Order: sequence, then C-alpha cells, then structure tokens
Amino acid sequence: MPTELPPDPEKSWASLFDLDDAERLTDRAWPEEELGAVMRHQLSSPVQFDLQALPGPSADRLEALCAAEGLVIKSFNDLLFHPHPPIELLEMTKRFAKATHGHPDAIVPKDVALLLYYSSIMVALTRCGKRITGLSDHDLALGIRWALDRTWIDEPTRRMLNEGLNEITAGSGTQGARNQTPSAASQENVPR
Amino acid sequence: MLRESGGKMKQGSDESRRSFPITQWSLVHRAGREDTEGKQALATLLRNYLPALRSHLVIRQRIDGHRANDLLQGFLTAKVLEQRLIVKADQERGRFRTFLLTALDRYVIDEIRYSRAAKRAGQQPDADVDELKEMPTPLGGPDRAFDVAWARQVLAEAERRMRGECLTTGRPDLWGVFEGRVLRPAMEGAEPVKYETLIRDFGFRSPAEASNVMITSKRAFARHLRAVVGEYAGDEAETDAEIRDLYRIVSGGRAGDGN
Repeated sequence: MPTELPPDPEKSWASLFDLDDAERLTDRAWPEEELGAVMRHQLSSPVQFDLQALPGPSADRLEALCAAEGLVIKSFNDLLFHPHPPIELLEMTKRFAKATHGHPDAIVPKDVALLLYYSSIMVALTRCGKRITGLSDHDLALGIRWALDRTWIDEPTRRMLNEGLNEITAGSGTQGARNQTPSAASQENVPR
Repeated sequence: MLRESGGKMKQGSDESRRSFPITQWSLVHRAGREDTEGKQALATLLRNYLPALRSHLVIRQRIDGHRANDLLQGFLTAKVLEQRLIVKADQERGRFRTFLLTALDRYVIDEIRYSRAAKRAGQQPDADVDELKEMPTPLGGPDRAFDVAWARQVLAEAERRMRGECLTTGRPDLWGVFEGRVLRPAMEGAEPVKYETLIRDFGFRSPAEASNVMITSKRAFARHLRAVVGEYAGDEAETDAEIRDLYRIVSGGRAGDGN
C-alpha cells in the first residue's frame, strides 16, 4: 500500500480514523447512483425476512398472509404487484418502511425506504380501495411526485405510482380516505 | 501532553501483541536491557518504527531511498546500538516516536556537518545530505512524513486484526464488504465494489441486511483501530486524543493542532 498521501486525504485515509462517527457511519453507505440497485434488491427481498423485524406479527401470521389468495407472496415485488394484496401486509410494509426511514442507523437508504412507503400506500389505495395513511391527497400527491422524480425507480413501479397519482388527482380516492381529518393526517408523521 | 505514558497494557491476544508496533513504555524499557529479552524487544521496536523513520527521510527530506537506508543504518548502529539511545527515552518527556524522530534528526544534522566539513577539507561532498537544510517540506511539517507513516502503520495493523477476526469467526462478509466498499477505496483510490456484486457474493437477503453488515464492519474496524491505538496511547482520553491527532495528520493538519 502507498505511503504517500492520496490527493484528497479528507476523502480517503482520514475517513478510516472516523468510521465510528454517527453521521459517517451511515452517510453515503450506498451512493445515489446505486439506489436503483438497492431498490431492485429491496423489491426482490423476502417480505417475511424484513417484516419479521417488526413488533407484532408472528411468523405464522406472516406466513399466512403471504399465502394470500392462494398466490404465494415471497417478495415485496410480489406484494406490490399482486392483484389482491392483503391489506395487512401492505400496512406492515408501510410500517417497516417508516421505521427504516427513521432508523438512527439508516439501515435502508432513506430514499429507498420512502419509495417503499409511498408504494405501499398507493397499492392499498388503488388495488384494495383502502387508505392506510392519514396524509391528505395533496400531501400524498406531493410524495408520489417526489418518488416519480427519482431517476432510479424501475418502470413497473413508476407505472404503478403514476396510476395512483392519476387516481388521486382525478379525485377518485376512496371516500373514506377523503374524509380523513387534518388532525388524523397530521398524526401520520410522514417521513420526509 | 504525554501520549505513551502510564497506560496499562490492554489485554489482547499473544498474536496481536507480538505483531503490532507495541510501543508501550514497558516494551521500551525492556528494549533498554542487554539480555536476550531486551534484544528481542529492541528488535520489535525497530521493526515497527523503521518504516516511519525511513518515510521521514525519504518524503520529508527527499533523500533517495538508498541514502536513507544508509543513514538509518548509521543511526541504528551509532545511536541505537552503540550509544544505547533507547535507555535515554524518558516517559515523562512525551511520545516515544517524537523522541526517536528527534534523535534521528540530530543524527542527520551531525551527518550534514560532517559532510560539510569533509567538503571544506576537499573531500567528495555528499550531495544528498549536504542539501538537506534547503529542502522544502512537501508534506507541511518537520515530522509529518513520520506521522503519516505512523498513521499508515496503525491502519495496517487495525486492518490485519479485523481481517483475522472476520475470517476466524466465520464472517467473511464483514471483511469483504469493508474491504471492497471502504478500505480499498480509501487506501488505494479503488472503485468501490458494486452493490449488486456484494449481494451476489455474500447472498444478502435485503438491503437492510447488507446495510447492517456495512455498518457492523465499520464499527468493527473502528473498534480494532481504537484497540491498536489504545495499546500505546494509554487511557481512554489519551486514545481519543491520539485518534483525533492521527485524523488531523492524515487530513492535512499537524499533530496537536486544534483542540
């Protein structure tokens, strides 16, 4: 290994003496250009593996939910593109995304967690007719537009979000959801 | 501030104690003895410090490698062995590596004077040594090259220990992720191993798992680094101060700058 210092030691050697710093620990773990790969990995990850970390659902319950409609749900992709996804799994996915987004170690890149968060809400809305968020249509649309601005999301996810956005902006969100009170929405504490 | 004073030797494996630049004063004191154990301790000290001393001559003083080797050899023979320099190291007066570097610089200055005297007497001057005084300081300070080399050695030891631990505890993923994503890019400017390659090589089931391994590996390296520094720095506060110093040195500052 070299003895000479590299041109920009601040970005190289020095970082090795500062790895335990809380910010450096999680900052830039996976850079922007790799978020597409991380997102693809997230969507192909076993639902049961990630959701078992949540408090509440037992392994048996998760397994039962993943066997919904006789179509075994293995991955988040399977869930988000299932014709009749179990609403309970979508809610768990939303909780998982929210928890990882807010995790002090930022276990999953925040943008990826946020995309999973909005995706679960959109799928619940468009395919189950259920609103699993307290966000107003306006705030939800803002979030979806933010997600659509990510250059690294895949086409199926982009289409699904676009469909959801169209439903919201066309005013076809579920009636119950539209009647959400501002106070309920404000309690959502959306990750941003 | 005393850097290598008073700290109790931390418990580590025999392997790690044998192989790292252990610079505790107990070792320095042993190296001052003339028995077999003293000679072994002296050999350990020299083996660990010579790369940093040589870097000081080559990088700071811009002496060519062969001449630097000659000077180091002369320093070892005349000062360390014949005059038993190590016996004069005083724990109360600061870092051992500063003591060693100061002694080397004095030796080199003596060589310069000798060379100039020889030149005046009509003998062939030694250009390398003769020009030492006018040499610029490419890395910013009189002992910076030495400190950088020392920092490099500390990193290398932390790396060696972490790799060993990862492999012996069946965690090649920790080592692989750290080496591919953090260590090689930092030390060699290598491109980080791609995320997709990591998940393929190590079979991570989700980004959460991959990220956990990444974070755990960084923490493991930080722990090993701290252990390495702690073995010569002393107590927790001294260890913190030394790590901050090494960070500053490598970042371009000087040891002891700042708080």
